Amino acid sequence: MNRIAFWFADGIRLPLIFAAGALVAFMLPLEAPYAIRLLTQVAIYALLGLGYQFVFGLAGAFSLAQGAFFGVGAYVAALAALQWDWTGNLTLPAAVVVAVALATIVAVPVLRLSTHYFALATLGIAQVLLLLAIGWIDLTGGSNGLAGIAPLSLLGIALDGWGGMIAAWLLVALVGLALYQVRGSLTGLAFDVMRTDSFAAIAAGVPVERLRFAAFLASAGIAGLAGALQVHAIGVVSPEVLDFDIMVRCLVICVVGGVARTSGAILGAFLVVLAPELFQVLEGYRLLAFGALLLLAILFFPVGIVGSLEALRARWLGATPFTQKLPTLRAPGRSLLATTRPVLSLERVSKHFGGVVALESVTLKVPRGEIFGLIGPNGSGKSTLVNVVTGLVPPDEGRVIVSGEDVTGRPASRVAACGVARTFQTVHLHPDLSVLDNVAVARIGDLPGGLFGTLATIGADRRLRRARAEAVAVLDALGLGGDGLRPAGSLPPGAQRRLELARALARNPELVLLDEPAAGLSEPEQAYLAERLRVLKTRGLAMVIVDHNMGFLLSLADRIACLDQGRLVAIGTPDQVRRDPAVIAAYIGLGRNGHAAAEATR
Amino acid sequence: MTDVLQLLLSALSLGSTYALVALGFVLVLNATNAVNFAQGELVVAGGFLAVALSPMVDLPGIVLLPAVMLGAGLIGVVLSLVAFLPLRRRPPTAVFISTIAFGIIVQNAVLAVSGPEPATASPLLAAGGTRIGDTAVGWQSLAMIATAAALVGLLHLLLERTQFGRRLRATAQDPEIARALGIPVVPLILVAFALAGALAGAAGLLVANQFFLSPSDGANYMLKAYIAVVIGGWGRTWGAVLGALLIAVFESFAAAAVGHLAAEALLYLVLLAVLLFRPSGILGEAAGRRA
Amino acid sequence: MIGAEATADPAVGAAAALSLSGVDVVRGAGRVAAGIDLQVEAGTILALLGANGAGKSSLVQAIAGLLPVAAGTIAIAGTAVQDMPADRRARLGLGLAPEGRRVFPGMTVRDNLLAVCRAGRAARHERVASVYELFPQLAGKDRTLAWQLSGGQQQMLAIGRALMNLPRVLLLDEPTLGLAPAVVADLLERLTWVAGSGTAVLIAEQNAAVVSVAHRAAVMRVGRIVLADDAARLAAAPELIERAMLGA
Repeated sequence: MNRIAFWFADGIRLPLIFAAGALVAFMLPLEAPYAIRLLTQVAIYALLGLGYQFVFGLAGAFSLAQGAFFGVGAYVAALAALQWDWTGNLTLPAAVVVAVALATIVAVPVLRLSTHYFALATLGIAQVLLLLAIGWIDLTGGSNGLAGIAPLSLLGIALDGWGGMIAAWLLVALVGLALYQVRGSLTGLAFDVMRTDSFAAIAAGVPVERLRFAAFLASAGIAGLAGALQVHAIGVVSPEVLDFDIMVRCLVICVVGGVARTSGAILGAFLVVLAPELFQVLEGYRLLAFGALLLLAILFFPVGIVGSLEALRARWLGATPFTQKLPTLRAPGRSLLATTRPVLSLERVSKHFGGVVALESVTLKVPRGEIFGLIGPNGSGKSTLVNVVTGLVPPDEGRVIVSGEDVTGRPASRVAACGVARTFQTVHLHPDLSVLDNVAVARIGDLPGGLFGTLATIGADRRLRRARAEAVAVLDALGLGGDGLRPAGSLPPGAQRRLELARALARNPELVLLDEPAAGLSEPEQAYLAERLRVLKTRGLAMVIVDHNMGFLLSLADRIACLDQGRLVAIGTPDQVRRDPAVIAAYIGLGRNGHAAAEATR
Repeated sequence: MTDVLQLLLSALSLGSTYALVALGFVLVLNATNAVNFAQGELVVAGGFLAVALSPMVDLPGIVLLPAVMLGAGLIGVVLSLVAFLPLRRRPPTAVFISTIAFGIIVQNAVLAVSGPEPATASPLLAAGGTRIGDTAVGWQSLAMIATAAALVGLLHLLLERTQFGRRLRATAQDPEIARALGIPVVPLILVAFALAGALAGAAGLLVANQFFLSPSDGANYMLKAYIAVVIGGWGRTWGAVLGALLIAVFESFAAAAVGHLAAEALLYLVLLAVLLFRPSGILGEAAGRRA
Repeated sequence: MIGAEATADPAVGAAAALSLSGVDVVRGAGRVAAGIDLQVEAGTILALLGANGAGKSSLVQAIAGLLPVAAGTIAIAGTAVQDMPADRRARLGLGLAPEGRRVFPGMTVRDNLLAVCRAGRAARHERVASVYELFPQLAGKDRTLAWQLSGGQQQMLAIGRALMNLPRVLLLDEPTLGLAPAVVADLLERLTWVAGSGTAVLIAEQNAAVVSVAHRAAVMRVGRIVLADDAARLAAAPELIERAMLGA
């Protein structure tokens, strides 16, 4: 019984069933041509919304160019149909290709911008296109636009009326399924993480730039397709298709319907197209109503109708049971060759920020299977050292060599690919995602098959299954196996630290840099963490641990180095370092303030 | 030569309105770190308020200024109450969407009340103009520039000389510490939105005679303000004024050379180029400001 | 001289200016301070020592309202403030000179001081004069933008700014960090003047030199207070401090 309830209440089905019901009720009393026209419009807007779900819903990028790509598709299809008598066989692909090509060109400068600049830049692009459509009269017909575009015809079959509607809905089904599939895949997991916490995404090795790029192109292409369909459906095109109005509808569809959800886009499209028809009062106030709806949704239903339904379902029926049986695979681990070559070697690395010396000619080596402690007062350069090694900050001078490969100046993602993983000083996890999935996402770099593999799969994503299975093994190794299905945010602090470590290990690194792993842990938690780290060491993993907690490091590290004002002032075994006067001076702040300080403690 | 002077005059009068809109935009940005997409619609609201009030009083438009600024300022307060304060702790896109939505509501409310036709209000001082040498100088253009300059000057005094201004600047530079030292944030936000509304409303009054105003013009003013702030340096108050004047000069001269549409398109292309090569603006971002 | 507002209510005099009991602070996933009990009486200086990462800075931020308190109570002159937002705590008499100084960089010295002041216009400018009396070096920099000041001057500005509302409690987070020894000695001496006028002063430091001016001292390690005693006694036994700070 419960299973049946679940099936009906699933996020994608309930709104669809509801919509179908409403549709039948709506269509029965209507004249067929009118109803068909409306339903075609719903399909076209659903397609536009589905496209927007990729860039906004999945990648979380607030693009204001989605309406513009719709307009581009519309104009391309119109021009091709009028100039060369192309049919849907060619106009639809042409619209997609041009929209994607345009997106590719603008993506390079625009995608790396931060949120507010990205919104402005995409809006700017939309404005340029609108002005082009108005101004390039020879090509576009100016404000009057172009008329007389033939209805859709595919493979020699004229698809007006019923046929056009069915074709449009088939495309909606296809794209909707693709979105559904991506959202439930390992790639979807990666999108979820990068949208929530970019540091978590970096730590998990998610290829953020590539995914954002792919999502941007996908949404542009789908918008182009929707635009082309629109032109064939209504037979005319004018600059109105590039108006901000279309973009507003797009926002209403996704925000009110449900962000990132297939069913949300479809539901939103029904709302946007049918609501003004159903409530004639709205005539003339349509946009006013859209504005109010959008405002109400963002204030009170930030996850949209479908998201709210899902939350209701979770409240009434409990969370979806996680029925998937996972085979436990061996924890990932490189076949670590017996070698004396150091895993990490820094040669005279220096880094200055303006006039401030962060690192001054630091040279050190960390061999395989060593736990290397790094201590020093605030601002002594510890974090800079970690950032230089992991590629977040390029050094001014010197070389960084990982497993014999010179990675100096490489971007973080390329350094990560050489087997370097890290944890952050403050915890960066996706709190709502399960413990298991927080780790599974980190397998994305190692498992073959990307976005296209995901799309080619029907049903559950095998890559995600495998990633989860491997994640189970890593969690077991860190004593988190029993907590796999809890939301990561519900773990106690110590376990969250270990979970971060698990995520780093899931990337199968040769070197892990841990930034204050013991901060905020109770004594037993520290002891447990230390024990786990010793086990990893015996497997040959090299670790660099930055921590303030001397007690923790002294008992754990093989060697300890002390940084003061960017210089290595001591390096040696824990015993040597704890007795070193330079360390004592630097560490409790006596070195810097000379006599005054020394007096007080002498 | 006279053509150039003529163009410069119209560029300055256009730029002075852009500057007011951009100032409001940057005030809200500094107080809240939020982008106010409704700023352009506040110009429209102010302009149409002026249009509606014009026939009621048989006096020069300038006397309407306090009333228009008050009205638009109130809309600004409503904007902050319904579209910003409830979303303060949510990601920035939530505020993007809420201010876009609020802008749509304002725009269509104006449309419902006034109809879609472009409208015009009484001139600020008088119609007509004079000649300086060979250059025709409209009273309206001069009055626009003077009014905007006066408002900018008053705002400068407000920011530099008053306790409100110091608090606003302190909050813009380090919101966390400002709060920890006892500067109350919410009243500051309300006043910033009110000022943004008032300045936009004043801009609406200024343009409502010279350039006509239609309910759909808001997006244009919002974009110009946004671009002015990007070019002037994100978060720099006086950079925004400079950016606004630069835009207006560029737009006026380019329009004279290649036509209005092409000039607009060129402006956006320049913006994209600025974002590409100097993402921190031509003057650089304000200290310590990130988004 | 600048100092604490005269306490009108004699009953308030009974409660310590600042008192913490059983305070836990959680930052991200970590418990950075646990079970902290502290009292600072009006007119006294408490030195809160600890190696960096010991949790003292987090504790100061929790007192100021910049970090949430997970458990326990914080009271300013007997009023529980742990659930109040930061600005209300400031209005109840808390002054903060934060770690890293955090002066408003693009504002002049005078505007930095004026911006946070809640007194009337005349009193505001009088208090600026008092701050300049306490730190004469700032007087000559009245119109200088704060970012152009030296580190020591910025620290003075941060402290002066915290004093503008005549706080009952002055919190200082690493005030000596990065300052030359002579500047440190001078600064510490001036803090004794501030305390002398009735303000309770809490100095969080990794520089043990501050013990020399404190009345009491406490040492934090890994989120707990491991040593608390009269400052004079600890100053006489520096090895105790060293062992407590390093935990080794």
